[in-house]
Amino acid sequence: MLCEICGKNEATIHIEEITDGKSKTLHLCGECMAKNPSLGGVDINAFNLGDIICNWAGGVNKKHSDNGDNNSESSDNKKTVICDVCGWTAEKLHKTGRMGCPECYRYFHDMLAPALNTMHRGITHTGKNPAGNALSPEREILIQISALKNEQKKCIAAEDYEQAAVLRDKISSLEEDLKRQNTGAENE
Amino acid sequence: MSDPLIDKLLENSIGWLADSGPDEDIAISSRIRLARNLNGCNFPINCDDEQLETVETIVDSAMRGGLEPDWMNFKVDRLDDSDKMILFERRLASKELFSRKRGAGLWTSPDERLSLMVNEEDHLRIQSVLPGFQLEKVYETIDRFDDELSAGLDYAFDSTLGYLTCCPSNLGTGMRASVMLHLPGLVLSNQIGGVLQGVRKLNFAVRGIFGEGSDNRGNLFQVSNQSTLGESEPEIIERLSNIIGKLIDYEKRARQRLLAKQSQMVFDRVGRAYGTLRYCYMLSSEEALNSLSLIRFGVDMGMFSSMDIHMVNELFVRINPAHLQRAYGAVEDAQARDVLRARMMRERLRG
Repeated sequence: MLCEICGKNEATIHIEEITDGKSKTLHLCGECMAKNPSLGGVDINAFNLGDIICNWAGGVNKKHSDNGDNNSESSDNKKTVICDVCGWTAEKLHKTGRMGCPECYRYFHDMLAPALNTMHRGITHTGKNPAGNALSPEREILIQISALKNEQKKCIAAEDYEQAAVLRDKISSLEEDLKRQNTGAENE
Repeated sequence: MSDPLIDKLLENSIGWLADSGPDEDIAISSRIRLARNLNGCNFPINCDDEQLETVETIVDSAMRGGLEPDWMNFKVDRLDDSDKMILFERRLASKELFSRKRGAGLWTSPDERLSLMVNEEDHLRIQSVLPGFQLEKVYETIDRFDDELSAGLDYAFDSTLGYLTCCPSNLGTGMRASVMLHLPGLVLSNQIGGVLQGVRKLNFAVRGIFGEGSDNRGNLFQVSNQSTLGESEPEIIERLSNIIGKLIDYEKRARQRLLAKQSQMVFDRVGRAYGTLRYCYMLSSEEALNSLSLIRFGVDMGMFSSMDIHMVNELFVRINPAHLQRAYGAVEDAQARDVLRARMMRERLRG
């Protein structure tokens, strides 16, 4: 699909705006997006992010409502998610694209997880720890899994399916270890 | 009332512009910032003044704990508008930081290579900048500083999600690494659009330093990582460094081709830019940036034996409104500022 502004580049950004129940979609390329930082007076960074998160949440609410609830109801559902620690709401998250406090990540986790996948190259932190914060065995396994998954992607891209299968087995065995670790911790 | 420390800052040269670094003919500087937050405190967006001040007190006391005594500390509520603009033009502070009425501050080392914003979007925004293309070295510097700080601060950290940040787009490492590139060769040979599009396809962000989008001035571009989660800091830096290395290569080849095939055009453009800056009496910011870019290109090609590339680098900052007014006194409008800008250029180029 081509960008609706310049008509030349491939559109990579898709904005959906819903006013009075009618949805309007705009497809843009990165360059035109950069040229129009305030499309419709909305902070595009915040808007975009809030949108990613809430589009997904809306989809889930629809899936969960078997008796065909309408859109307004699912947006009511969205608004009921609230962070008990700081009082931040899903609505504020949508509006700003920002969290209210570190604990928000626990309360909005389900809303956020798919958006994180779009935004980042992975969903598990494999970088540094605050100094003096020793690696937990659980985290060590998570980091190994993440590295193996990256490796696996490379193999698939290079059509080395044999090696990819070896890696897949390693990953699932590590995931088993992780499960055992977790249940062990719960029993303690 | 202006903060007297600002004058002290202005006396120093800007370390990351005035000193030499690897590949400095094309890469002006390498920069990394880390976003960090305190456990148990709301993010600044969700703080009242009192909460912001609490965060500031905690961070300031950790900073005073293990610092060289010559670090400078600025409090946003004690700066006047011109002070704020000076810090902004030197890329030490952002407009978001200044939007806070209380509890926001800035710490910087005197050479401005290491600095810390308190209560910007996150509680801490640590920044390190070095001249040229040397992201690994910048990371070493900032990593050590971050470790020292975290000894006295309880960072918000999750074993799966990493450092918890106000915006989910910074989650994980909280790290944004970037290199400022001067790409006149690619611009003059009309290759810049395609090259930048390629960079964006690989999920790196590119933006002009001055102006937005295609309205680029000074041919200065900043390339940075977008993803902060799922890769370690060295992995992000390696990926970014690979692409920067390629861009430097493309720019070198574009310059060589221009000199081989269109040398008269290049000399003409550079010579005219020199003439403009050396003899003008009114100089807009746009013309200044574009001319400085060509002069910088000329210096790289050895056209001006007496001119130093670092002086040109610093001029990119010193021609901005707040810096001009500090040097020559306040003026009432943009036109008067253009006169000052021209005067400064003439003086500098007269050597």
